[in-house]
Amino acid sequence: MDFEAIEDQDGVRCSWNVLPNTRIEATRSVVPVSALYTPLKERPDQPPIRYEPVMCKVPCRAVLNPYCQIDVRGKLWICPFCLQRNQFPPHYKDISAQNLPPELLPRFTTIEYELPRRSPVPPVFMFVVDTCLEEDELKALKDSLILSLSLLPPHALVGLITYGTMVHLHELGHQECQKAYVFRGAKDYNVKQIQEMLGIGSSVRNQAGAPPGAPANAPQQAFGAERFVQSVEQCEFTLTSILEQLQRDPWPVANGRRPLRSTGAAMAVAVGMMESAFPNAGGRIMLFCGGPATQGPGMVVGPELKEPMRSHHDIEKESDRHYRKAVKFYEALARRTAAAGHAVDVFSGCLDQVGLAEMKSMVSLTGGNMVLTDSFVTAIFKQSFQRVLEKDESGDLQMGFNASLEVQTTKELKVCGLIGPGISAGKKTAMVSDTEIGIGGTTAWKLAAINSRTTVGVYFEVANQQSQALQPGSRGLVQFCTTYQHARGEYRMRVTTIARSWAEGASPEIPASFDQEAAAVLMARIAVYKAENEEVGDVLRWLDRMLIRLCQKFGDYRRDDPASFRLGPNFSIYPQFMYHLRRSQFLQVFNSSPDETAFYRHCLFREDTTNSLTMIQPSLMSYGFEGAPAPVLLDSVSMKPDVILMLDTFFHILIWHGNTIAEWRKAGYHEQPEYENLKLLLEAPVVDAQSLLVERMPVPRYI
Amino acid sequence: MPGYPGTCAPGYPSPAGAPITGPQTFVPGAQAPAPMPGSSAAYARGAGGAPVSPSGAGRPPQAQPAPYEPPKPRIDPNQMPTPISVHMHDQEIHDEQPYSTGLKTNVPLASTNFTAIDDGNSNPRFIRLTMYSVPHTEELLKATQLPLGMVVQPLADLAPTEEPVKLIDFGEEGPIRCMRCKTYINPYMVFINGGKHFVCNICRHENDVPDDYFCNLDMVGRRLDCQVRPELHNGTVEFVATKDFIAREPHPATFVFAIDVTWGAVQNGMVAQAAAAIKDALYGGRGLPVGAKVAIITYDRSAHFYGLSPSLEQAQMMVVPDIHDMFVPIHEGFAADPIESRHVIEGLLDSLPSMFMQNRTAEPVLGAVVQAVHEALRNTGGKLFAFHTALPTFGPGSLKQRDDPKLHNTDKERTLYEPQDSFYHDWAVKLVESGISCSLYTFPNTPMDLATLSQLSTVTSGELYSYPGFEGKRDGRRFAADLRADVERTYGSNAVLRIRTSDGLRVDEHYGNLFMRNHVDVELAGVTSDTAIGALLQYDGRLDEKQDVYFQAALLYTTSDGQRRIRVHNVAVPCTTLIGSMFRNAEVDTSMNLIAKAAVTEALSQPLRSIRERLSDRCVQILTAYRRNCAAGSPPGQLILPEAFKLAPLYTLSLLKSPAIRGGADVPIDQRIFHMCLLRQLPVRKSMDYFYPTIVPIHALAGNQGEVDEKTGLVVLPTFARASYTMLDPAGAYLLTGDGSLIMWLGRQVPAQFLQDALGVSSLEQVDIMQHSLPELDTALNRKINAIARQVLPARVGFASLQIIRQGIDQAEVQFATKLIEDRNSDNMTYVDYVCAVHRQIQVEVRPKGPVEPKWSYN
Repeated sequence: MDFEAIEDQDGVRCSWNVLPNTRIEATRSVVPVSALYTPLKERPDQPPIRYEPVMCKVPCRAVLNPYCQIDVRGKLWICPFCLQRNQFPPHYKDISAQNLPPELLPRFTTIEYELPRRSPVPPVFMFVVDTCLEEDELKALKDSLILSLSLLPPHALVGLITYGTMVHLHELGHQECQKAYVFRGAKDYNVKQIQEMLGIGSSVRNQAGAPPGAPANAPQQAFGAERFVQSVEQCEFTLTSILEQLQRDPWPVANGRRPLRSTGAAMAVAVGMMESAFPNAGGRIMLFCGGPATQGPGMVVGPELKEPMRSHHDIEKESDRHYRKAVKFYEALARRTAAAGHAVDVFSGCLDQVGLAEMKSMVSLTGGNMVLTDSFVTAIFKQSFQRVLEKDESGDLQMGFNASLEVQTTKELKVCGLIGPGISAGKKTAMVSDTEIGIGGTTAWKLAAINSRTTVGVYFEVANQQSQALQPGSRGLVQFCTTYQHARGEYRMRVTTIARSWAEGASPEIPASFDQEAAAVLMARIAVYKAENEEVGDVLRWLDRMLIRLCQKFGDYRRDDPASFRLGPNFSIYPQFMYHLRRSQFLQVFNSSPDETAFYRHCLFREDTTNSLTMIQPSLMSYGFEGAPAPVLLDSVSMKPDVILMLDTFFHILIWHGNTIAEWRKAGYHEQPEYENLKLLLEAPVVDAQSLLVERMPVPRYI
Repeated sequence: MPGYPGTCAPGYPSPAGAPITGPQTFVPGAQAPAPMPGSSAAYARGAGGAPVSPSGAGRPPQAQPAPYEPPKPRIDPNQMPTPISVHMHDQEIHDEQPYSTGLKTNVPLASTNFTAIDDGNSNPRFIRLTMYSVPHTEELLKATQLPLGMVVQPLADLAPTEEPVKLIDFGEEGPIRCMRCKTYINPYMVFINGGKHFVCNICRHENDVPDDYFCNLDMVGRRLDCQVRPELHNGTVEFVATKDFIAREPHPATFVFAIDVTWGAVQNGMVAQAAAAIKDALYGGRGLPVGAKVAIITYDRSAHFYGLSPSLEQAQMMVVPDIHDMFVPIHEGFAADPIESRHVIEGLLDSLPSMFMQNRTAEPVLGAVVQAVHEALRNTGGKLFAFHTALPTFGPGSLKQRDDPKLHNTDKERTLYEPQDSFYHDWAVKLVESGISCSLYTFPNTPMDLATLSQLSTVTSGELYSYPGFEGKRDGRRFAADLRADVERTYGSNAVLRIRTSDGLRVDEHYGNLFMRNHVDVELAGVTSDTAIGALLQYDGRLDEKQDVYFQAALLYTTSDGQRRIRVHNVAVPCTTLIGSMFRNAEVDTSMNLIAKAAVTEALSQPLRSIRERLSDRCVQILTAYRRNCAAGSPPGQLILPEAFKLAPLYTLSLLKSPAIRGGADVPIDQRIFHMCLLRQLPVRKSMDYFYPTIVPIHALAGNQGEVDEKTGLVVLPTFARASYTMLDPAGAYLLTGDGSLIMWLGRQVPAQFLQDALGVSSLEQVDIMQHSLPELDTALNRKINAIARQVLPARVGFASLQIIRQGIDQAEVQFATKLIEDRNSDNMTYVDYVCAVHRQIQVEVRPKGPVEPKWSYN
């Protein structure tokens, strides 16, 4: 079974591709029935179709798909999920066995509809910029931001908040002079306050505090926020000049103290303003932060330098004064942001920690990006930032906004939950399982930002009891339905329907359908999700137990004879992944700061199978004169003098030259025409590394 | 001429309830001795020891019989004492020679232009006493009913001809002071024991002279270095303050301009005018005091701050919408040097009006601005100029509308004078603690509860300005002139004033815009050349009649460029046992100023009606005391007035007609409060303008009138006209000024030629009454009128806006008429009638135990 071909078709990889037909059998299979789904997987060969999908009756709302039974004469179709009969809409009257709409063709198991609705507001980008930076840092950051204006589509809306000791919300439409609304950095402003103070939001629109009725052609439904957020073409000049004149936070910093940095308050203002002015319209809040928050809500560390940043140890011992409060604060913000359909990106440029561990929820619940760099001067930051704003061939930003993912299953399957960058949309249907894995209790999730790489893990449970044996040949269906706002403004809906056969518990088809890579990633997600909330030791023990049970069930061995143990090829490298997972930075916090751990875990939750595997088990490629580059073992044995090694850990890419090679290079042989093969050899890993770099987000550190 | 009250018949009909006490108490005017208003002897003020009792032939009093019987023998109003002649006379005396303060008595009148030479007593510009002959006991004072007190104007401007105050640096030890009472060294300290000790003139304590201050004495016991040490021969000196006097590092002044930019303010033109006025104040004239910095705030429902740092191209505006938790969002550049940042500040002021053109917000948050300014200036001190248009109904310090016309003119009205909550008082006290004073410029269109808001200026020693019904075009110039004067005048901050008096006296009550934590130290957050503090004295015991009575007022303050100084004013006046001497040396200008200050202060605790009665009673009592003790022999039908106090009835009447005190339901509460505040803080010089308007006839300028006199450098003025409608010539034209406004009144029959020359129009109908400044024409008459206008307006208010009123044509004449205080208006009688009424009361008082007479009920 070619899992990757399926992935290319539907963006789905399942742990089991043939499903055990009873609940008990499924439980015995150890790895849950689950799927890694990349909702916006690029499918250049299948452009979206431009009409509304045909849907089943409320409350089912399943979308017509190739697995439906249709009656071309009766102009009827039967929903495979709820088994209701539906009439085709009138314009399907010409339907016949030869003349089927695309959504009924088997190759359109994944189909994208371009809906006739458009978002009233173009995507909104709210920059939240830390000004407690060194001059060169601030300069680099300013340059990047100014550059970014040219990367944004001209109709996109932008706003700017800068913060240091205080929080400045810049008014972009003000002609006479630079104008900014200033908020206390040490205070938590709630939405109502922000609405009142800024005179924005639906509730205060027509009160005395609001400016005179917004001109009709101003961004629609901005609820009075058009002063702060304007389209790039409109405000590029103003914004550029504000950015150019942006100064470091002028408030003095005493010796032995950190600058007062009000990240929390700044985010509260940004979130409050966005949710008031642009509820349920696509938008991103991009935080550029050069150090830890030192005051106000979401404070990470006190302003005294003698107070050190918290470590894993502090957090574990609960000896840190701010951690829990800050986590709670940011999580509340994150939930509000996600609920309003906005995403938060965090770019940190600081050698020390900035509090990502506290702020991670803002990113992970909203599907934003998290970029951890040492400085805004570095190429990693600049390229990562630009990559976020990358465009596709048609010139649209490669991102979807305000998405929601809904899952439909046939009645034998129930939904346990989702692990990925989103929050629950609180849709409780009959398909919700009692067992929760990840974000459970719902069959729909909100993913405030989504791109072609965003991958979620969805976990199912087989609900079928022993007694009700299924007919052989019947299939379990899952439909993923993703609605999102395209960067161009229109709403789109991507529908993927997959069908997997049922099989008796003992059937050999089941182990044969095991996708060990997907399973490893799916299990890794569960483990890391657990590790966020439980003791790491317990998680490791759980992983071990799961691995043993899996081997017990699917291994082939004789009792008390370790040498006799065999695993089928489908399972052969799974234990290796588990081995690496156990000692990876995802589960081992030793040698990582809390920020780094948060960053790594965040990345694992959003990447697809291949990338995730690279994170779990770095790949090591060996380049030599003998034959093509080949993967080799992560072992010092691989470090031979006459080879070049390229290590890819996803976060880092490292090229290592064997002694001999290094000496040759030092001697400059590769510059001589007769040794061109050496030159080629030297270049090969570099070229490969570059091609990897282009793909990755965030850009890995290249050494 | 509808509604104009001044036209009532000369025979003033007696009001219904007026007490006509019967013919027996009156002697017809014909029987009175001929009054001699012009007699020069009558006005010589005690020169060469004139007879103590003015009952002699050269006595000044005007016998004023009051006719009430149907056959009316009219009193000639021309016989009434008026300030015009009194002032002219005093001016003539002081034109001739400078006044030496060594005389200790016979100080020039407040309205006189004089040159004083400091010979031991302070210049009367700094301190004026109510009497320059202090009775030795309380009983003697009580017998006269005269007020004993003083008005101190510690930083008053000196005339250009006078010597500036000398600065003395005593080094680290600081100025020499009495060990016991801390009086500063002054010319009246007596050195004894060969110069080894000195006796304090205030408390009589014998102190050691520090070694480095020792100096031998001459034959008469004076120090030999007396003439080289200013503190030993000048009444006013200034000492450099030592560390002991510095609680907080002194800083140059910071002037914060806070402009209300709500809809109302934009609409009535205040924002545009304020921006222009600030620009004019900063760059149009002398500008700020040296070293002072400028900050600008605007506010509506939020407060807007501006970064003015000179490195910027244009100002940076920062809005603080969180008015409930105020803070200052700028660290550097909130206050900037007006010269260095001129391009930023001018650019901002130029664009302010257009920036807020579309502002629809109401509800200015004054309270939050006060908090913000406190936060910004907490460590440096400074001054807030707030330009405010409406009742603050939002944010901290929001107030309720509580004006109730039903309460007006009742005893309950005074509840409206009380602040409705303590917010502004509490914050004003905080401002005082930080040395921040607040000038409150108000532009109310609707009642804005000045009673509450005015505390910002009264407690912090600022001033309250009010432009009711402000209209940018009309009142802009006056406002700009007021602001410019306010900004340019001498300014000090963080001041403490302490008045010390000879043993036996103490200060009972201080009046003015000030704050007191204890009973002796007057805290002044800001002090300007116009700051005047009234002090009413009280007896502790007997005074030694052989000794002079001494007063010392010491002001510790920080100058506008950040120097800490102590300015000391000393006054010594003779002590007396004679009532006659008291009356002769009484000073009506200061007395009335102090009486007015006391009266408005009482208005919070007593109904205005009883205050008015008491004012009249006081006037009667003083005159009765004079009559009993100094003119007992004169016929009872004759009204005898003490020379020095002969204007008391006129000034009392004027005070009774003041919007602060007068009756009637038609005075808006804010207007009342404004006038109360005004009276409480007025310096003596200005109170004279307040009590009697200056009316200059300009239709018949003779000779050099209207031209600059080479000798004095002043414009020669014609004789002023009296403030009575009947005294105005319908064929004439007059300029009236009093409270800073300038009115040109044109009689109905004013010659066309005059109009042509003065205003450039040929007939009354063509006069543009909307013009708010005197046109500048190339005619001699026009130049003269302009020169006169500049001369008569209070010194620095150079360009008050002009209002032209044509007799019988313009509605505004009603308002003009109320300024003519000798007429019957403002809920009170004419000058003539009032004097008659006073006379009647005196006769009642003097008459031995007659039947009980009804009291004042003339209104």
